[in-house]
Amino acid sequence: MITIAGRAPDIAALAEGYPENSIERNLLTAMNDSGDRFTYDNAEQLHFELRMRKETVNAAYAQNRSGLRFATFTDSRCNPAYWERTPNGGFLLKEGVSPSEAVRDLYENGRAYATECATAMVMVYYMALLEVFGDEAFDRLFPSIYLMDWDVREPLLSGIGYPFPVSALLVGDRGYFRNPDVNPVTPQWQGENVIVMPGELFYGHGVGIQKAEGVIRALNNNRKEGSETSAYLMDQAARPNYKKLHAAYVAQMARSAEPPQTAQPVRPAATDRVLPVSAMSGPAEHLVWRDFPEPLRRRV
Amino acid sequence: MCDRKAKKRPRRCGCAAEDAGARAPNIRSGKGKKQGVSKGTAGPCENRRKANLNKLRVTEHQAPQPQAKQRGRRKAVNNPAVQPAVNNPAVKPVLNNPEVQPAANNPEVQPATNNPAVQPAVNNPAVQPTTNNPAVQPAVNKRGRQGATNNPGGAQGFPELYAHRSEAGRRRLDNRERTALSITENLLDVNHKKGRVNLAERSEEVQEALRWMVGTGSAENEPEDEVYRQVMDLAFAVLLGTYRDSSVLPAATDTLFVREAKGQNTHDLVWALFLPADGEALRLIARRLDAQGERERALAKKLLCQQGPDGSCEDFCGWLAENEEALEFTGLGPQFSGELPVFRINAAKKGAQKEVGKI
Repeated sequence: MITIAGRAPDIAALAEGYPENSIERNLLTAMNDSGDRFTYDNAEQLHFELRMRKETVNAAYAQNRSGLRFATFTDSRCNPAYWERTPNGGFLLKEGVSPSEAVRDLYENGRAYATECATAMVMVYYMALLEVFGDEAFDRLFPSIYLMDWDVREPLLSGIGYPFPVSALLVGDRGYFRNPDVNPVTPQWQGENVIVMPGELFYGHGVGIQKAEGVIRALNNNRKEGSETSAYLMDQAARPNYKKLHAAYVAQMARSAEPPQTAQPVRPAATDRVLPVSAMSGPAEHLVWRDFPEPLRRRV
Repeated sequence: MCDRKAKKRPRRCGCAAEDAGARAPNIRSGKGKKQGVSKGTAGPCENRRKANLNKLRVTEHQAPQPQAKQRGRRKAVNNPAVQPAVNNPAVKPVLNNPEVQPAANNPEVQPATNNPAVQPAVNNPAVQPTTNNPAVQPAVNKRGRQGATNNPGGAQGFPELYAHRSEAGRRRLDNRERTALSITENLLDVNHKKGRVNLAERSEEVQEALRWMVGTGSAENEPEDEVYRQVMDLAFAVLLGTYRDSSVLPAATDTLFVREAKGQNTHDLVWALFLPADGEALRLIARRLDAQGERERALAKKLLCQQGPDGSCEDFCGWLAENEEALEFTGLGPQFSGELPVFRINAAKKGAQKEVGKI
């Protein structure tokens, strides 16, 4: 249920600002019908969250197409022009490098990178933030970026590392499929971090965009021999603190004399490009099986 | 009845609170909390751990190593291929140099085990360096087991076997070493099909080899090699996950904290550590709550204090003693959350326990 300034808003009126079948419009309905409470101080906060969730979905599609490879932390790799690979297999933004350029490189030059599913989810959220904030504000707000599982050191984004029980997963949430009987020699299959996508789909780095059954099947194939305990989707979600992000957004926009193009008011304009849900849920090019896992170790 | 009770008593962590017979402190009120234990200095548990470790080192240093001697002698006497290595002046310094191999091979130091006159040499810092001197460290591992030499025919631990695995065909290996190599081959194969071993099936031979691998090749003995560390991670995961072999928990915990101090990858090891769902893992980690290293303390706190008390090892062990019956391991690790919710207390179980207690 949605409340703005303590009152239930007119959802139909709010939805009118978005095209039919758009992610935002469907989200409004889903949030309002949900058993969880979504409280906002003002409508702008709500619109900001809808925009962020939509960009999270778009970033997930983009990552799926980027050529980013799957690897455990032992075999992780990154573009040394922007990132320093740390001894634990994480990526640290190099000094003197533009954060926005470095994050964009994760997508434009995806084949230069390899990591596991948690780190890939963090990348998705950074990409979404870049789209919402624009390069200039992003560079000011996120001068130091560290990508290593859920060790998210950026306070504005740390919420994505801490799942909590929810009554329903929403598009743009980070979810988790757990594989309780995983084969100990394949710890990378102990679970799958996913972004909840429109059309009851999930994006997980390594498994691609799938229905829940597809993700579960991939995990079940990596259980202990003879196990009959299936993998399952946990009823927990992790979300960034959208209100804090909105406050940071407002502050950044106030600082910008000339806001960059992407930093338009979050309320959608008529020309705003919105992918209809129907276009995303069908057997589109997103539903491509990726090689998984790629050979993890070649040095023997 | 009494026997059953005794069996159910929680295991000891060896911290000062237990040794003194102190009652577990009340975490909420702070009652019973031992004074004088502050963060940032080695607390009683850490001191006790170090003392025990030193005792262990001395004991093991003194202990004869018949296997090493036997293997060395066999190769030297019977194997023509190895014979030159023993007699070759180029190799000899490694085997006979008292600074490198006093305990195992040097007759001058060997009597230290049995000869009372030489006995003090063990405690003499001048003789000790074999265990503590970083320059010699590779020659004798932390546990004083057959240490590393670069001599392919000599006694060795897993790190040396791993380093020379490409030459394995030219070397005489015992069964355990051959099994360890097969396990390594399997673990490093993307499909885990290579090697003659099947890690999905339980086998004493495989378990023994895995124990040897982690016993001689983990913690301070890990070389600076990421792939090697991955082998260790998987070896621990198989032992702890498939065999539920909690005897390797101390080695796994040591490895975890050594890596953490170096900023190395601990992602899979944290997960593996809790696979046997054994409260002993928590006690071993709790000892690091009093550690001197900031990173060690921070990791211990992160792993333990989400559900447990925020304090010293003594605090935690006292709390654990009161709550162990209701302890549940989640099976979740750093892949799921930054919070590392590895265990929790089942309130219902705890309530039931109290009810039974009343009756």
